Amino acid sequence: MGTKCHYKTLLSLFMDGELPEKDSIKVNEHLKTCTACRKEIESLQATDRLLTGMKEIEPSVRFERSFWHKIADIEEKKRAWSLSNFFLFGWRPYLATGLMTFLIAAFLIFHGRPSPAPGPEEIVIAQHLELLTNLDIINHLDLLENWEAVKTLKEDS
Amino acid sequence: MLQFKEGNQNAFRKLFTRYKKNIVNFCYRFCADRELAEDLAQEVFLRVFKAAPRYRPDARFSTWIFKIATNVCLNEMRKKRYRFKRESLDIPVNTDTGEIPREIEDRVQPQPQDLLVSRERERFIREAISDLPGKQRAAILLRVVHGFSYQEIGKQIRHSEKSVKSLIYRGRQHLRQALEAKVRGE
Repeated sequence: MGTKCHYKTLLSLFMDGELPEKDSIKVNEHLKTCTACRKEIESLQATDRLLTGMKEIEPSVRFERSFWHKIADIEEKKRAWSLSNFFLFGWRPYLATGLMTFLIAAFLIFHGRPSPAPGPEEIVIAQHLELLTNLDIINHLDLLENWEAVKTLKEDS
Repeated sequence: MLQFKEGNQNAFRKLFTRYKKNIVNFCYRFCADRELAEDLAQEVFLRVFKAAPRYRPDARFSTWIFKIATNVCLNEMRKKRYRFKRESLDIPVNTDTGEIPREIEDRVQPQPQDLLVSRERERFIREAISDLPGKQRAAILLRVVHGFSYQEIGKQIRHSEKSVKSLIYRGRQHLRQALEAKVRGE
């Protein structure tokens, strides 16, 4: 058996509880009879113990102090950035909106003021504008009405 | 973390107090250098601090913070490997007193009397861990020392569960071989 036992590849998973229950029971049963696998798993477990048994270190004072300094720097930069952001970009939308409102208002007041709706008389005048070009004739319409008399007067003179 | 995300600064202090030792020790086991471990742990907490607005509780907070720690350590390892690649073994070391021949520590064959000393024993274990490839090292530490499940480790190192099984299996085999003398000595 020894090195060729196919259960050996499962021992790491077995130790970590990562085998399905069915396979885990099989490995457990196998370990009761296979000395090579028992030795293998004991050796792996001892290796794990060496790792977990290593002395832990306490973070130094320098570590904490330096870390919180870095955090304070970040916070400070954030504050400075948001302030400069306001001065760089923050007031511009407000200025632009104000300027646009002012320009529209000025345009409406001086040029774009809407005229009142035309009255009925004005509409009639507009429809007969071409008559105004012959205003002389219109002024002497009475002469046209008595055209025969005018004509006789002309002939007599 | 959610409290901190909502603006409770005190919540972050609590998180820091709760996890600082675990994270420093994870980094220390990973890189075997105390000062570097503390620098890396600081980087981990700074990333947590900066990532708070984007934090989504998809998994346990501990899974998330150890994922960040693993990334930070693996990145550092890549940087170091690059530095080592550029270092020539033939060029003497420049010191204030002139050039001296480079001495390389024999990490493969520690002297037996050294192994009897507890501090040396620790060093030997740390070196055995350091000799593991990065992802094997991370997977072994996350499983054996910090007790994460294979599924959680998969998320932390961005590998499938199947791949995590293989990493842990191979990692244990490597460590066992390296530490066999120690195991027998117990």
